[in-house]
Amino acid sequence: MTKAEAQQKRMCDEQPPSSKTMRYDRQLRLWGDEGQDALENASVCLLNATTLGCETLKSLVLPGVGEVHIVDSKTVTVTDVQTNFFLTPSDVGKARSECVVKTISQLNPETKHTAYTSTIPHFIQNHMDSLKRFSVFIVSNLRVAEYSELAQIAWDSNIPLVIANIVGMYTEIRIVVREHCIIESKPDTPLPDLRLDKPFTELIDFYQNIDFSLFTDTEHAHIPFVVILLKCLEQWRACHGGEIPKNYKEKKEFKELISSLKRKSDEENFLEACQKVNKCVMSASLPSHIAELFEDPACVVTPCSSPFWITAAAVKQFYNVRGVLPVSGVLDDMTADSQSFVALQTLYRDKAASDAGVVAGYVQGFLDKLDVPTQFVSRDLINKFSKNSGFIRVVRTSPVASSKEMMSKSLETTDQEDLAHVVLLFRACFEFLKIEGRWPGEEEDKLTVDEIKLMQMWRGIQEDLGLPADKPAPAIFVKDFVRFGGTEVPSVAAFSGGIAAQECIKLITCQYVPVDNCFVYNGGSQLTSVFKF
Amino acid sequence: MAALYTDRNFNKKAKIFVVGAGGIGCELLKNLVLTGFTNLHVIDLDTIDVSNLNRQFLFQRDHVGQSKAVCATNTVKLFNPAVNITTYHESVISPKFNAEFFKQFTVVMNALDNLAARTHVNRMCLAANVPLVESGTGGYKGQVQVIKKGKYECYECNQKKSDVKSYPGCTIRNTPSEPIHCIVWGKHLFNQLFGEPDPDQDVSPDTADPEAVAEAGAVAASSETETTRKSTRQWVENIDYNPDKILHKMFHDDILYLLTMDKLWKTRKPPVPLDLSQLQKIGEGSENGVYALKDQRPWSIQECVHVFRESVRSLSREYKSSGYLTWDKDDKPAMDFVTATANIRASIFSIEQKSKFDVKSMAGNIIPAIATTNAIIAGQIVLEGMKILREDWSKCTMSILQRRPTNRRKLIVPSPLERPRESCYACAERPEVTVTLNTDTMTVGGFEERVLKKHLGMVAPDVEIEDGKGTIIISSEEGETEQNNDKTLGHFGVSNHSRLKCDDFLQEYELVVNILHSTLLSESRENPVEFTVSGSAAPVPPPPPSASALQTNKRLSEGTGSNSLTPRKRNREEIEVEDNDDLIVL
Repeated sequence: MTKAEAQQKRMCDEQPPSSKTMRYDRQLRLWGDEGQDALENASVCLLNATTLGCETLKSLVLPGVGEVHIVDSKTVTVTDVQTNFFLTPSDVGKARSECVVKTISQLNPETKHTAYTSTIPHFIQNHMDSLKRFSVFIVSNLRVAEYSELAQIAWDSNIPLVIANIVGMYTEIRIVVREHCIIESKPDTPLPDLRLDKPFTELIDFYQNIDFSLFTDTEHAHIPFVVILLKCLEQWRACHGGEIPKNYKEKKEFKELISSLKRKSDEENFLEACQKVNKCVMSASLPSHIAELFEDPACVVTPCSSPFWITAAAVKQFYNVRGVLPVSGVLDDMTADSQSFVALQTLYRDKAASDAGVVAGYVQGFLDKLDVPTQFVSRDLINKFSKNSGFIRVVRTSPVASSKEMMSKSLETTDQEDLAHVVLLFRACFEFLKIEGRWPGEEEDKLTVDEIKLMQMWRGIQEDLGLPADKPAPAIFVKDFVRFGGTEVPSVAAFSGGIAAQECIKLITCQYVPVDNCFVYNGGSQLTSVFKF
Repeated sequence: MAALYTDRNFNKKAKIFVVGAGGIGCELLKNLVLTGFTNLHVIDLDTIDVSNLNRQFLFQRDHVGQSKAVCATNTVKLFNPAVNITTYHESVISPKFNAEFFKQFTVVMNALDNLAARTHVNRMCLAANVPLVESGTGGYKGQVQVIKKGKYECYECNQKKSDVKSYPGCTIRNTPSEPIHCIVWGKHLFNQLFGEPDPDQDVSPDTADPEAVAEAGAVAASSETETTRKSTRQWVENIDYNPDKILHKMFHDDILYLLTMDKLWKTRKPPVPLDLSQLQKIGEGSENGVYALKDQRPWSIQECVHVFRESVRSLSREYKSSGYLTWDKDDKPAMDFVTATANIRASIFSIEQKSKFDVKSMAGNIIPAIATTNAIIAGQIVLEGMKILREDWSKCTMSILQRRPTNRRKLIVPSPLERPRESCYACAERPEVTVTLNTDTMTVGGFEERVLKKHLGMVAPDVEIEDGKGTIIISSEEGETEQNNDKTLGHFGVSNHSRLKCDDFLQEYELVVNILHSTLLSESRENPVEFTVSGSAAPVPPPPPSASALQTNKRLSEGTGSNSLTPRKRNREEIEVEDNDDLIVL
């Protein structure tokens, strides 16, 4: 074998794509390698292995979450086996956490699993030091008092807590997190960041040297639409006092201007330019949520500032100096020959890199003042932040003991009154659980009594929140909560487990914006809503 | 609790048909068993692939290659030995599963991933009058819909976007302008060299290109391409699959030939033939660098050429030993071949290069899929199914799962079900459609394949002309009417206002096709329109539609004819319209 042949052989015998890549192919297309890495390094802890809790874990283990820990001191009951797919009749009487771990661990050999049969207070006591390394806590069907200590630890360490409660056809999934910062919020339809209203120097230099009249027909039909828009805007500005077209009428005229430059009626790049006018020709104002971000008290650098906030402060400085956010550098495909497209792409990309460089300079300035080493804020973070600077999101929820004002406001202003009843009835159920030591309806001979008691508790909570107490209690829902006696409807648990797991994935990968902050579902009517308190 | 047990007894009586044991199917089986259903039938044609394991939780690595339906059943039974599941490892589109078969079920639940099977099951459920729960997921989105004959809309009442895009032949063969064009060409080349040859997948320059030929009417006889096609396989076998000779023909000689069709390059950038000798020189220069071919970045042309050679060697060996190969995105040499081929062609035509990861996505029509969405949707399917069993029809809904809560804070948007569309060609009492086509150019074979099967979802139609003589031009019986395939409809007397009775025995479905003859259909090269279908009969002939109007109505279009309905807007609140390509699969 010659050297060249050996080389060729080596090249083509390349490592087959890792089994991981193949296994996770379909999801990598949604959250990418970075999201996958975050997931694989994450450690999730479930307290109380309800069916809903297990369904949630299932959908976290399958995509490859790093570690799963289940804390549950209960033993498996017949009802558990009937509703939870991961338990079998032979498990009845055994430790629930261990039985569940045994089957869930089979879903993915990559995930590590641990079962704790201790009570929650014992678990907290014995693992005080290691609690802070968890990525997300999930608590299911527990009274607040049972996990308030853990919630406090999570809050102090800024670990998200997902509360997943289910009774019969109803669920609530609430996220509690002190501060969740999202760089990649992945908006559905981001507007292209082309800077047509305020072209940067390099862009001006690029298009000013272009003279359409010198082009051959082929070249003319391949001018990128961005260049067409820039050229036409230049012409437009000259006779409109330097302004860009603003309203419908002006945009219509502007499109006519573009069309007048066509050599043939069907030149695709000119048609594309006309199509893009509405989306791309607009003055870049600072998005309101970014303005809020800049005004956030955390956006002032102190010795306690996180890398995220130091970068945010640097981007704010960038904006204050230049009047624009850093260029994203992303340019979608368009009708153009590849040379001019690549040239344009390089232009935006280089500008994005240089803007990110300026931000990095500001970051360094802050770090120098704080006397903190450069590595504290990675260049990778700065680049990503710069690139997504128009889409940064910060989610802050109230702690577990939410404010009564927020809760009553959210419940009062909803257009889904039925679901507001569900929120209150969950609280009433936990109140019942505290006083009676069992779920309403759990003992079949006390259904009517339980209904009355639950209704009273509902009224108490209603009053406590300052909501009108003279309103008739939602009798149908009270009956329903009692009817199910604290048990779970498997399909509702499956549905809600999917939702809860998806929220956990958002929290772990720091991609997409999680629900802010309480999702409520009625499996009977398929109605959902989100409350904020 | 009492209620829960009543439901259980109730559910024991029901017999459910689960169509599909993939992403949604696995979740669905789990939910059904837990809800107390003990009599289930499950069908799936597919076998398990590694890339299923991130969500299809009833399968494990050891199961790869096994039947999905069989394996899912086995796993479910491990947990619930008492459940009675009948398993079919085959296609649901089969005479075995006729209307009689469907009639045994209380409810049919679809957990499918393609339009053809969805359409077929819809028709079978209509024929058997069995309620159907239809579902679909794509990425973070999904939906569930209850279908009940005569009461609510069927799957076909609303126009569906075809899940297989097609591209004009001359764009693929002569003037590609987007990466996808090169990828499609690459898949065609794969089939020409190693697969079962398909006349519609020619890869050589198209000399009949209407734009290259002086007048569109004077189309060169197609017999010439016929011989070229036949000889492609012959030729490649004669040269013993020598990769360099294939490279030279496909990327040099054929490109030179294309360049002689100079009309094509008046407003387009002409392609640049691949110069293999030049490439080798460059290749030798960089011999010292160790290539680590990544899936996520586009390969250089040298890398593409290397991969091309290697994959051709490996595929030809496989072809010689086991006969026709079928292209599979998960087969490494096949995927390598298409990636390399598409990118070499892209560079010749100055088109952006794509990484193997992206090519796989485009070539394999990959829709991202995750466990969470399937769990949510499968939960919803069973909840709707329960309403059907209780005959609580008014509560049944169509619900759509959004990627994020809507402005009105809803993550799931349920909407009431609509009444069946009167002019629906699937569920109407006596369905009729109007097809506008050129009876002098449309062949019987083309009418069967592209109009009746591909567009109208029939499986094995019989077609009779209502001409008083009952002339049968298409028979589902093999060998009876094949000789008609190349003849035009006009040859059999089909003309303007002819009525064709199309009957599909399997689907127990009869459709009258009203023919409108038109010579004004678009012959635009980039966007050719062979026929248009409108959802209703057209008793009064409409004025001849203008060519430009037809061009935009390429797909099923309502609104022609006097008794047609204006396209209805669904009363679904606040659905955000997105021009997404992680499409929502209806």
